[in-house]
Amino acid sequence: MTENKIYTHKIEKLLPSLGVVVFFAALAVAITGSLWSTLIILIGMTGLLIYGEKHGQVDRAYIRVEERRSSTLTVLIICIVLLPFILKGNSYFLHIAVMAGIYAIVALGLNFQIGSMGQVNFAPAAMFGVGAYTSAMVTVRLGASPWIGLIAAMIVTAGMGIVFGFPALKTRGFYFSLVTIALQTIFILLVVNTEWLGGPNGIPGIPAFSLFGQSLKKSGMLLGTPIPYQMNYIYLTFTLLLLLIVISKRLYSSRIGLAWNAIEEDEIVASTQGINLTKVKLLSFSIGSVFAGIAGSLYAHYTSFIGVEDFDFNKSLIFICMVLLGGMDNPIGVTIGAIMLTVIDEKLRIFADYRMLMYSIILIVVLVVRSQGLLPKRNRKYPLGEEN
Amino acid sequence: MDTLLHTKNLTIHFGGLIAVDSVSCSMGNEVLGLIGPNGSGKTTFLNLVSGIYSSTGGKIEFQGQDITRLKTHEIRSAGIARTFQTNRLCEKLTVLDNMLLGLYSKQNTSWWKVILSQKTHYRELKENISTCLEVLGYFNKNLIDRKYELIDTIPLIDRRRIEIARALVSNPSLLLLDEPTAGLNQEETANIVDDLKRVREKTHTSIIFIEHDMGVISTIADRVIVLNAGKIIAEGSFEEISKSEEVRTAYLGS
Ligand SMILES: Nc1ncnc2c1ncn2[C@@H]1O[C@H](COP(=O)(O)OP(=O)(O)OP(=O)(O)O)[C@@H](O)[C@H]1O
Ligand SMILES: [Mg+2]
Repeated sequence: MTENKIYTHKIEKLLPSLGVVVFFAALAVAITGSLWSTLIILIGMTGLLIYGEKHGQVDRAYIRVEERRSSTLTVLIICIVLLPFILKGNSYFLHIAVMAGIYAIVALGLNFQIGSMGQVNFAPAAMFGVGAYTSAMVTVRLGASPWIGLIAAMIVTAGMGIVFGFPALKTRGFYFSLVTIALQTIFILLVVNTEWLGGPNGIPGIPAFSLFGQSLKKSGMLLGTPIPYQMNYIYLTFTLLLLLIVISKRLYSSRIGLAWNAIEEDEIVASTQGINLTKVKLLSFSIGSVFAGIAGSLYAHYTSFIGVEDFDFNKSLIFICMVLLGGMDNPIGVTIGAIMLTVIDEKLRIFADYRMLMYSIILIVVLVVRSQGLLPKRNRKYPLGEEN
Repeated sequence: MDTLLHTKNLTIHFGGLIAVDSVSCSMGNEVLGLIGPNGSGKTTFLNLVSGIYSSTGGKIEFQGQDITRLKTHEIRSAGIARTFQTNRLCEKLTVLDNMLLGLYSKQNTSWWKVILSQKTHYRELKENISTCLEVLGYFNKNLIDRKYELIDTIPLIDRRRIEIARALVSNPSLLLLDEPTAGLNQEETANIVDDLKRVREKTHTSIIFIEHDMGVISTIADRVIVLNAGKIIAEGSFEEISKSEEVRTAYLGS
């Protein structure tokens, strides 16, 4: 009896790490397999979550991860390090992983508005574009280093976040969404009609990041086998992604995250609690935009060519879907949603013109089955003060 | 008696309607009952004091400071907290999160500190949580165990209590209560009134108390102001105002 108990206890302790490994294995299968394997994994994940939620396993999983934080994180990092190898060093597969990481960063930023504050911003792609164009212009036109481009992108998008957030101070709900749709359109028109920004032709020849004098666009050699350069970008993107997830989680559990939630429910009540609505709302837009800016810069220096069609309204809709599918106001959920949708989107290329249609159908089916998204927001439980 | 709150010719129009009409009054550290028939402007008066509406005329002073043009959140930080006539808790949040919102104005860990390190913010959070639970405990010890439950599982009387506790937790100098007993039966009303008397004894917080039940007003209010059609028609102890002819006609509807 007791022996058995100790044994189960040990296994329970290993579960978070095991979960991470299983997730990465599933991810690898999804990326390297056919569309069907991706769909089966999505269905399996949804089913598992519905089952787990019913039996309280999901809640316990959260507690266990919290308990075993450092070991889970270690396993996670090992999995990321191994990811290029799990993906068989195939440059196309690696490319999907890089894009998943970049899009996840945009979705995390968007989550501050949609998930935390309940304000649907239809212009995340425009903000992603502002980051990409800023970084591209600074490096191509001014000849600065891509790292300077990244910082410039962050600064410019922080400022633009205030511009985008401003309508949120004056309007709510539909009206706010309409204003962001207008902003998205303005961005596209502005870029298409400005020669200096490359107009409809886009900007070619954007330099790659380099680290310690080594360009990240150079393929490496490991144990005698060539490894595509995308590996470098996987490490860069996922390091930033991990960092931004931590930041998102910290904001979520702080008074800022709470204030955002209160604003979603009732602005008057929020302000009578002493919340400065202007400041807190603009913060949501600025931080969210900086996330998009970082992603945009990564994208520009990864693909070395950007065109306005990479940042159009469809992209915005996809980012919104990532937040909805993953689960509002839950950084981990949003990241998983973004990764899943990026992979599915790639796999749907075989349908060519019907791609958007298939995409919508999959999304509708998942959201009908599980309307709150894969991993929705949890009630805040504070890992302290339990004794009283 | 030091003046805590003072209004001078406070007025607000909604189109042609004058909801609060040249109200001048003062209060010190006391429990002030605010009564009057439906639509007489009681809630509107609280909305003006708490900064939700901005007045079309007149002045509000709080602890000697002109707060007429301050924003709602600045007024809360200055030390005026309130509840609402219809219970307004955040339904998607837990009991504890609602309480923590009440402490928002007292917290000073800024967003970038939150991003950089969890330690300072956790230390502050820990203190805040114990303050919240302590204040919740004044009202109903059971609520401490239900801290992680969502508001929609909580009975109305406890929601009323949580709303008052959320206002009290930041230790305000003035507490505005808009019909805290609305929708409660007699026994529950008596419980809330008891709670409030205990709180008043413990914290000496000044209170403006809107109430329809004259029995409640007579036991809790040190002084009463009667509004009718936005104007003060009587002011004084409960005995005094209940003798007033004008008050009677206002209530009976002339
Ligand atoms: N935002 C507003 N816009 C237009 N009219 C308003 C507004 N707020 C209040 N009023 C009007 O002002 C008058 C006073 O309303 P108020 O809610 O202050 O009354 P009250 O004394 O609190 O009544 P009750 O006892 O029913 O709560 C009413 O005629 C009401 O319709
Ligand atoms: Mg009222």
